[in-house]
Amino acid sequence: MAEPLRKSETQISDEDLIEKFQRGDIYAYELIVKRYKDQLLNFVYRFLGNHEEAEDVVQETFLRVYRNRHAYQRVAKFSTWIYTIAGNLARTELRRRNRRRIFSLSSMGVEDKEYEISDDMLSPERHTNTVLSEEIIQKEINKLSPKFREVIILRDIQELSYEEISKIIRVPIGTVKSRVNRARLRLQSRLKHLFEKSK
Amino acid sequence: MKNCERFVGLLSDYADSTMAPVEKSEFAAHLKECAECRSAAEGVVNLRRSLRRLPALQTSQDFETILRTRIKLDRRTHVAPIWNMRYAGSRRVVSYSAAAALAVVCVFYLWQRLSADALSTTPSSLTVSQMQIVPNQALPSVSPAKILYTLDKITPQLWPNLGITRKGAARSSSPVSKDSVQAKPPARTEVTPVSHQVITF
Repeated sequence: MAEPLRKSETQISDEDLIEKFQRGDIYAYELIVKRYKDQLLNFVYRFLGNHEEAEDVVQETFLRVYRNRHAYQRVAKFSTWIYTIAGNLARTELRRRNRRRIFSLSSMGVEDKEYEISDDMLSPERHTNTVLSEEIIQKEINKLSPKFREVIILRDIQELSYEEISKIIRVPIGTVKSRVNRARLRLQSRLKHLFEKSK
Repeated sequence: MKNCERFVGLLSDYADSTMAPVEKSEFAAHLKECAECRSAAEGVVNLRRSLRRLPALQTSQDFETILRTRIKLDRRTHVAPIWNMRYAGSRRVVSYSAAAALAVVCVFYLWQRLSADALSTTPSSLTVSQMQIVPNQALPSVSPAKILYTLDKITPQLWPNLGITRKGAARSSSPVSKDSVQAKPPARTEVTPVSHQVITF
């Protein structure tokens, strides 16, 4: 399954593929997995900030697509449908993780809490390192509330249109635009020092 | 400065290059005057560039193998729900069939209840002569004083034959008047059975 897609395979639309899969063509499903696995991983990873958890969520997304293939109807774009499933699962995972964190913090002693890694440990001198810059950006993305995080990832990392984002998260386009704007403003003010350094 | 709020709201349009020409010239003019908005606009453009440059991640090599295994396991354990069937028409047929089955069950239940009630209110259905009267000594553990019976098993017509009176009413050996027989009994009433006798059905 690791071989690259043939030309004829790239020309067929997602919607045609899922219809073939609905008719029992398992090869069409494998093509869908090939097309979307990395895109979804990037989306979910940027949302959760953890590679392992992100891969689990993407696996679960494809499992849901397999199981509920007949629930898809051609009135919507396939990409919207699959992103909605992945987004819902990622949000669920985030809530679960937050519950776990609350539990583990409440069970920690005072001394344990002192060893939590602080953001300030990343000194400005180290910002020139690209990998570190990526880490800092990811960390700042994670600090955004889920509703802002989701839209900025979909818009600026996944490069989806406002219209598609609006369908994925089921809010009006105006709300999406306003959330993107606010998320960008927040992120840019927190990352200002990073951009100044890299000039 | 008073326009800052308006222009901050347009920063995304500026970064996405989706501004109308008129707005664009107004925005450019404002940026020349306002250092704060200029810095914010530069920041948003830089941020957008940085986010687009973030490295694209790839799934692990065994991603698809794991997925196949999970699907295989899932197929064994998970039965597709009936409402996931492809055609909406089939779903409708299933819903109507379920509703019809439920209606049949309800009708059958009601019919049974009604016929049971009809039998219990028919005076000829159960008479004292059909009951087996056994002496009280056969069941020594039964309290000789008072026994509670549920009155839906002993109909009001049978009360006089069993020597039953409503609690608080005067006991009389004379035949019970029609009115007192027809009086609706409470759900559960304290009953005194005929002395030295226990009724078994």
